[in-house]
Amino acid sequence: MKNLNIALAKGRVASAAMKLLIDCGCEFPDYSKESRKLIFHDKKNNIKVTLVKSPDVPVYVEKGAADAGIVGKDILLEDKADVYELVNLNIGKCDMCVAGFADKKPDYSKKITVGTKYPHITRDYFNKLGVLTDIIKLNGSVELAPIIGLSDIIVDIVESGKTLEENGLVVHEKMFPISARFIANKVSLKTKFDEIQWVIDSLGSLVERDE
Amino acid sequence: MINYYIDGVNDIHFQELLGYERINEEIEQVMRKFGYKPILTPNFEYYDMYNMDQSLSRDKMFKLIDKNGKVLVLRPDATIPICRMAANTFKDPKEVLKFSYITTIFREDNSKTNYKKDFIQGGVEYFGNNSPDCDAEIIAVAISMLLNLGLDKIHIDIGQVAFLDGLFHGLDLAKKEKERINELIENKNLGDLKLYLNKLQISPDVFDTILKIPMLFGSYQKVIPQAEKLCRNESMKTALDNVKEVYKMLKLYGLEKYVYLDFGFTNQLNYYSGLIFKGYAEDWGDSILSGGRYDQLSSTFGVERPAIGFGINISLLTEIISAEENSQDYFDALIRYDSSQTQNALSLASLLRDLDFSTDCINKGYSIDYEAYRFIFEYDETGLKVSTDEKISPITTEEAIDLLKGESDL
Repeated sequence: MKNLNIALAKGRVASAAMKLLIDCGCEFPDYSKESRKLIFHDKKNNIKVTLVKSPDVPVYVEKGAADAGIVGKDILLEDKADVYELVNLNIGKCDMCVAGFADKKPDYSKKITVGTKYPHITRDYFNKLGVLTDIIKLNGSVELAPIIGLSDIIVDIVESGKTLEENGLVVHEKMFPISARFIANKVSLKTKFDEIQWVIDSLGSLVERDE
Repeated sequence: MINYYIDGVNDIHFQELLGYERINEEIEQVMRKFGYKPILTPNFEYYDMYNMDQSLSRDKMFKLIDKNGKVLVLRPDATIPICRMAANTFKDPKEVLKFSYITTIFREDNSKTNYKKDFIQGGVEYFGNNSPDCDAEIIAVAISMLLNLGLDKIHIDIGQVAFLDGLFHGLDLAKKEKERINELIENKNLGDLKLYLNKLQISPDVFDTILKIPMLFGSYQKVIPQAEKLCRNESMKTALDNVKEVYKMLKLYGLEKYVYLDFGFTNQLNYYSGLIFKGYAEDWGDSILSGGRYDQLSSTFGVERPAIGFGINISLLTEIISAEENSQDYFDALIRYDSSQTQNALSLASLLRDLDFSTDCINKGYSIDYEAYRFIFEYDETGLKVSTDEKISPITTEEAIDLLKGESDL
């Protein structure tokens, strides 16, 4: 088999994806969740896995530095990439949500301030609703924004809701569900079709079973 | 000091430009071999013309306002103005017109990994012929260009817009719904396509057919039987027959080994109406050329006329073949002179130029890069000398001319 390069989003998605790949019969002898290594080889199937920061996965794949990748839908929606989005893996499931204080429902007739890691998604969403917004782009701990008065509400991914709860916030609206996607470079899908198809089939069969 | 460098544009340096010229020559050669006449359209066009069929996103175009307040754009695409030009000048729709061009395209190209405001594109447009032989010729021109450039791992993907349109034809779907399906098919987004189709009122077999289209790609032998099974009406069958015919013709050219199919290509520029294709090479992660049939576009300019064409991204090609040409020997001669010898040096330079030798003449007081010269001469008080890396030796004017003519050696 030709050498196949897969980029995985570090963190939640990577550990779930590595589990899927290992269940498919891939062997990564030096992989463990705690490992700090960023590159793993499966010599048997000739697959190389690279762990990168999640927003970089589509970049690697679009540029062809990786033939395929696994990354959350939130990243793909926030920053459109020119890649094939082949399979919904149904791992890393969560929701994109509007959240804030339970007793302070946002008044959409006035301009509201939104703290988020996802300015594009937020803008698109509120534009469609016809709500005026000031968007504050944050890079982490978005839950803090309403607490310290930086924003009225936040837009973020919510998995269990635990982080929100512990910070005294609740989900106002579920915007749409998010899950990890298997993406491929547009040329690699053609030139390394058999290899990618093998991965899709293996991942796909697992996904079907989970449903 | 202020930096006036604009994001998304490039200076092209001497050696790089030589690379561009070499690529242009190879491409022009192929265009000419197949009988295409070179033409050029203006850099400016009316914004309204491009806005008409919404084939290009408005925010990708560069707009200007002329004296009368009309909005102009810098040519964001080559096909539409050539189609306009053909319709303006040649009224007989039966006349076959074959045009070629190499020109700058001004368009915001803002992908994740690449930001460009303009690029150089070559291409051909073939009007007045809607037969499969014409489709095959266009693809043959495209492949020949890649071959002529010495590229390896050439891969042409052919799709047919009419195949999917045929499928949509009998279905009661809103325009928005079709666009969304198109988009999901184009991105081969099977997961979301399934979810989206679930929401629509369509029969289970239409559902299955649409869901198969994104993965309907690969070799001709593999894809055609699968596509045949999916045909639900005459227009899908006609579309498929066209692909078969074109493939048969490409066999006559002996080029079928480079050709693959992908029925998941959808109409991204609104004007495509039939066969569309993309070309790749050297495992490069992006398509180098793309084109297709646009039989309805010309009617918007008042002449009903079928057409097909493609464009090849020359700026991208220079990156792929890292086409920096060797600039050694670009000029024939350089004469360096002492101020006292100005007159002698200048008359020697005139003499050499009259003999059609490119000759540069620069006072010794200035510094210059010696790279681009075949021979370097020096004029000082003791007379004319020829200088090489190893030595400087005296030479007469006649000997210098012989040297340049290649009739003697150093």
